[in-house]
Parts: sequence; structure tokens; C-alpha cells
Amino acid sequence: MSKNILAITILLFFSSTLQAEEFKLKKIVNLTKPWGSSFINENELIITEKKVK
Amino acid sequence: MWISYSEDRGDWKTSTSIAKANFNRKNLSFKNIFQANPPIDSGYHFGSRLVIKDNYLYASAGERGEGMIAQDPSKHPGSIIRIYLDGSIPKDNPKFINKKKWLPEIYQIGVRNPQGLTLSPYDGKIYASNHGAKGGDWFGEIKKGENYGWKILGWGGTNYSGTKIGPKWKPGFTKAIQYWVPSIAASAITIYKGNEFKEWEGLALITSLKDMSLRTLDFSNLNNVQENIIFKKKIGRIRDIQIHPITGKIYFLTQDALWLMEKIND
Repeated sequence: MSKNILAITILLFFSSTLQAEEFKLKKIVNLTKPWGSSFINENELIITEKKVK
Repeated sequence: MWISYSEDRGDWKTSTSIAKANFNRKNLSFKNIFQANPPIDSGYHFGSRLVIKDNYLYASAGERGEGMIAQDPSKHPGSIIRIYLDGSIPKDNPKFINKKKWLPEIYQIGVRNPQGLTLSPYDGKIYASNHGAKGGDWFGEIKKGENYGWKILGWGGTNYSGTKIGPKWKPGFTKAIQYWVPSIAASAITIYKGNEFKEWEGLALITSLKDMSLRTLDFSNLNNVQENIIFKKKIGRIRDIQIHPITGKIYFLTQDALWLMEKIND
């Protein structure tokens, strides 16, 4: 497999915020070359990352 | 769970492949259920997006930089795939209707590098985004047995060298809903449904790599598609987008992080 898979419990580690007119963007977690994601329940998002060579 | 990935097929050749595993938190044991053939010695254009609708799995298989291979229905690269969730082949795919020369897994041909694929919760249709060459990205509906035209059509773009490819569109080919010239490098897409951004209900959300933007598309009237840039160059190159199933808040994968988008008054 050329992608690793991890599950991230969301709403953790808010570390930076960018503000625009009507919304805000918050970084939740740093990742390494993520590609795809999918919610498996309301609290967890699974993510694929590309393998680091 | 299902995963689309670039598979090492040996001799420097790779393919867009799909594998399946029973989900657990300790040890995922994947088994292939599809390989795009032939494998190709190229690092380009895998597509590699999945959508589940009922018992069907739709997948995008990029043309791997091979251009006209997307017009060859005896080869998978450059097509949209439809198989059952166990990898078996639906007997109502185009091959079994009126496209006898098509490989049995192929649902639509003529795509280049579709890096966005989504199921609309409103009309039950599958939509894709696709990278053109130098210009010619698009957003459009996936249509059974049809042909998006690559590399007969250039979708408004040119080769990277600047040489012409072909017309933007002509009769006989699927017409996209929206084109971008110059390219924005359209990536993940979704059709918004949720509470957080109620004003976007039913709109397509289009993310991009090079343009680093989030755009909304109101395509309820195909003769008057309305596009809005929500933000640009705030979080970097955007690879994926998800809508929280309860809150409607938006999550983005960028090249190096997971981001949350929510209303300021939350």
C-alpha cells in the first residue's frame, strides 16, 4: 500500500486560527501528505497519508 | 472499508487499484478488488477517488499521462469505473447494454485526471472534478456509457507546450457543467448539505490545489451556473473536503494538515 491510514479524533489540538469575513479556519492537526478522508462516526475521521520515502 | 491507491505492479509500472478490508483499529488486511489495466510506467494522473452509492462503488482512474488511452475502452486508464462493493461486475454496465467493446468495469470514458468524485445527497447523481492540461479543468456529472472526450477535446486548454489539443466541446461528448481556463487544479468536491452553512444547501463545493481555493457552484440552472470564491490561499493546497454529518461544519485536508471551517459566531 502506498498510503497509510490513521484515525483522528476531531476537535482536538486547535492550534491556529485564520479569520475571514463570515467564517474561521482552524488547524486541527499536522499531517504528512494526506490524500483522502471519511467520517466513520460523528467524532472520528479516518485519513490516508502517502508513504514518506 | 475501501481504498483507492497507486499499486506497484513491478518493472516500474503502477496502476490505480482498489482494495477492501474489514474495518478495525488494529490490523487492516486489504485485498485487491480492482486493478486498472494495463499498468503504466508513469507517476502521473492516477485519479484515485471513490464514491459508494447503494451497492455500487464508483472510482476514477486517471489516464496516467497517456492521452488518447482515455478513448480506448479496452483499457481502464482515463475512465470512470463502476463495480459492486465486493468487486464483482454489475450486469447493467455499458458493456452489457450497447458498448460491447468496453471493458466490463468501465462506466464512462474520456477523462484525464479526476481528483474529485462525490454523490449528491439531493439528486443521487455522481459528480466529478477533473484536471485539464494547461487550462480545461472541469466539474461535471458522471453519465453512464458516455465520453468526456479526452484527448480529442481540450476542454478549453492546451498542451503544456502551448500546442492545441482540440475544441472545448463538440456534440457527441459529455458537456461539463463548469470549466476553468486557466486551470485551478480542481481537486476534491462535495455537494453541501448541513446546518452550519445553510446558505450553501445544494451547492457544489469545489476545492483546488494550485488555486488553493474553496468555491461554491450553484448549478441548479445549467444555463446560468453561478460561481463564488469563498477563500483563496488561506490554508494551502486543498486535497480533500468532508462535511460533518451532524454539524455541517467543513473539514479540509491540505498538503500538510487537517483544517476545520465554521461560522465565526460559533
